Amino acid sequence: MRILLVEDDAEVARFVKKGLQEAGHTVEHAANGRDGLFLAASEGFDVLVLDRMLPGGVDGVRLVETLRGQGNRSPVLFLSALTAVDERVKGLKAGGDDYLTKPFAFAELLARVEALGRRPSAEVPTTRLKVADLELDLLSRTVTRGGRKIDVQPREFRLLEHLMRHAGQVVTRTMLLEKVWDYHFDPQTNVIDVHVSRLRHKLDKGFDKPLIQTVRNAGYMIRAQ
Amino acid sequence: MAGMRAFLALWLPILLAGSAAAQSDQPKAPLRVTTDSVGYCRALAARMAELAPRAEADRRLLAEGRQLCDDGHPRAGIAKLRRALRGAQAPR
Amino acid sequence: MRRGAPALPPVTASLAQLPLIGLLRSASGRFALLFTALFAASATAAAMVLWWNTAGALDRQTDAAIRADATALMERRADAGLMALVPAIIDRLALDVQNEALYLLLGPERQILAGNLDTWPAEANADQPWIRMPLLRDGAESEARLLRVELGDGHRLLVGRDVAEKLRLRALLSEGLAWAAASSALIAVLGAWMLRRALEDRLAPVYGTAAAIGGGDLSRRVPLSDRQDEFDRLGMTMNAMLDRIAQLMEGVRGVSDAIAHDLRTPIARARAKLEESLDSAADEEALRAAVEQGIADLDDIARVFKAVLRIAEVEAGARRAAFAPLDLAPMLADAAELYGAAAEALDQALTAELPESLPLVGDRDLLLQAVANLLDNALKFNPAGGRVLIQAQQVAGLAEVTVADEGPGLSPDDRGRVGERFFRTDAARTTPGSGLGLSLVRAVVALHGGEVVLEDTYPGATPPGLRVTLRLPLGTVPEGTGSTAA
Repeated sequence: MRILLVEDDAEVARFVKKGLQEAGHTVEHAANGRDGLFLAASEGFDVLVLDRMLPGGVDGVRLVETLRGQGNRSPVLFLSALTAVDERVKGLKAGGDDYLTKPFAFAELLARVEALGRRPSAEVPTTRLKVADLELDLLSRTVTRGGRKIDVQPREFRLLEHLMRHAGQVVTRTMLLEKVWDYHFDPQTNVIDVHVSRLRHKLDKGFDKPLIQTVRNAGYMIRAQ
Repeated sequence: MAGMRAFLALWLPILLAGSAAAQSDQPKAPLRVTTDSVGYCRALAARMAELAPRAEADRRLLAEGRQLCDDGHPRAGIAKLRRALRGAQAPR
Repeated sequence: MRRGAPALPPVTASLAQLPLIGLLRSASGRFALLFTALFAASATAAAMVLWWNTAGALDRQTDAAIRADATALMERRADAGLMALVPAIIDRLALDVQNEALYLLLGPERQILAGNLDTWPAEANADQPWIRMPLLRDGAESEARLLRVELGDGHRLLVGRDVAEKLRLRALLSEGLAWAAASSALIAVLGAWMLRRALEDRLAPVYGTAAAIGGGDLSRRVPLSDRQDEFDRLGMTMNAMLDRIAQLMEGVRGVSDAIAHDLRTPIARARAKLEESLDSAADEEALRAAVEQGIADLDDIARVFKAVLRIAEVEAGARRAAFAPLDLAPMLADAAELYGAAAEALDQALTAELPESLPLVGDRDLLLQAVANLLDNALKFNPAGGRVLIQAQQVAGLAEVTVADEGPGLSPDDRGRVGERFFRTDAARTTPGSGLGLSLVRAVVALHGGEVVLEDTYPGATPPGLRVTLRLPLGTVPEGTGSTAA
């Protein structure tokens, strides 16, 4: 993916750029909002990673508003040191697609960038999701594996749906909390792990190959082996 | 102090305008009244005498009026004579 | 009061230089001027009415008499011809006891036919039939009011009255009015001065307090009278504002305390661990483990930092704008479901007793976080095999959310401290983070105008367990925070 990183802190920028490049992406970096806006407007990027606060008069929110005003729909991930609850809402309202607070684990950033870059287009509605022999029917809300029906609770269904929509991608615990439970804070108890392991238990019972994998220091991924 | 000045500032124009309006038509040559003279007094007394007043009061007024005119108080005399004339004419 | 005094001399000084402008610059001066103007206006109106009804009436009376006299003479002339006017005028003059009648009948050659005026005045030739002329009688000045009547054939008649008597009355009246005006002016000035004094006296404490606050003495408050009037309301509003500012300042101070306590210690710990492993790590594997531990420590520090900032944000009340109607019941059901699995994994049992629906006006994210913190705490302190109960019900205009565990509970001392400033309490706690969790709960509930009740789940038992009840008002956005003080 082509990724534009607009970040004024040189050390953070270097770290993020290096990590993204190691993950196989092309990264352009701008150190201020003006350059970032110029790059974003003149070249096509799959994902924009913007610091919320930038020097040079154009901050992250202004940048996104300008781009959206120009009809640029590239997905945007905000990085921000601002923790106030409203800041996330403000960033999303301005046209951002995701919001990550500093400090962050690189794995979390990578997972979110990849999720944004390969977002399924909203124009083509999917009714069935399939990973290996696991099928999920969004209309009848049923899950089958190898033709055998698996009983899941509604919340487990949504958890599985989210994982399957991002099949082959890492989905972090925080992402699951945000997308499946709409929780925008980190509980101290590791609540997600328990839910995933329950779901995994239901899916894998009687099958050889486990489908949901735990990615160390990051989160989970579902994929056909 | 300030209140006093403010008050004067408000009131003075009103007071001045009032007095100015009262004096605006003053500078004219004054008229003179011809019926305050001793001559007129005598004429009135003659007219009264012609009427030959019968009432005691009228007669006394006529005498007093005539006396006042002769003494150089024509206005007072004329006033008495006029009262006498009115009294003499009243019954008619 | 005394501190208010320095604010006054500049006003007085500028007054001395530019009386009216200085007066207009001060609000109390403007009120005083307005008062004077109103007073003057009403006094003028009263004088005008009085004048119209007295002096004006006299004038109108005179004019009416003249007009009636002229009309009578015209009738006479119509009955008996022009020359009958001469004896009529002579008769009228002869009977004029008041000595005020004025006549002048003029023939075609401007010769005087009858009357008691020496000449025909030039002013009587004007278009206006009514004229006013100075009159001399025996050398005494007087005034004549005259009406000109055109008789035709060059004959003209003036009918009039000597108004000296009326002038004298009018002069008397003017004098009376002048005295009245002077005394009312005095009253107006006095009133304005008193009004200004009163306003300045009432405002002086407010000035004084504001000046003291501006000078840095935040403990000062506006002294209130017991009149409960506008000035007291102003003072009360100012005091409420100052209380709020003081509260926020204390919050800021609290945050720095919290940063010092909650962050410096773990940072020192993490730093020591990293330094130690740098010196003494046996191999790369050990070093890697130490770095990972260091990252985990930093994440914990970031989490605490975030919590401290969140509590400060909530305590500042900045979040009240995000209040919206919501239903607590499904929210709590979600939380129970999310934590239920975790409870099972810890060999505990989480039971939810929730109503169908529990509508409330509030901030969803904060309420959720508060409940999640309570559940985190409950799971953390509960022994294996313990039970956690989450319960909600509506009790008389309040939503009551209860989370009860079977853990060690809180001693009455600790409970009291939970009710104090948030960051102090966790100093007494050995488990890091948990004190902050309860502090956030307290702040969120206070933001919603509710209260937190801490009790034993099983009073008298060992362990007693902790039962936390959040009492949240259902209805509208609360006016202030901090109702947990009780």
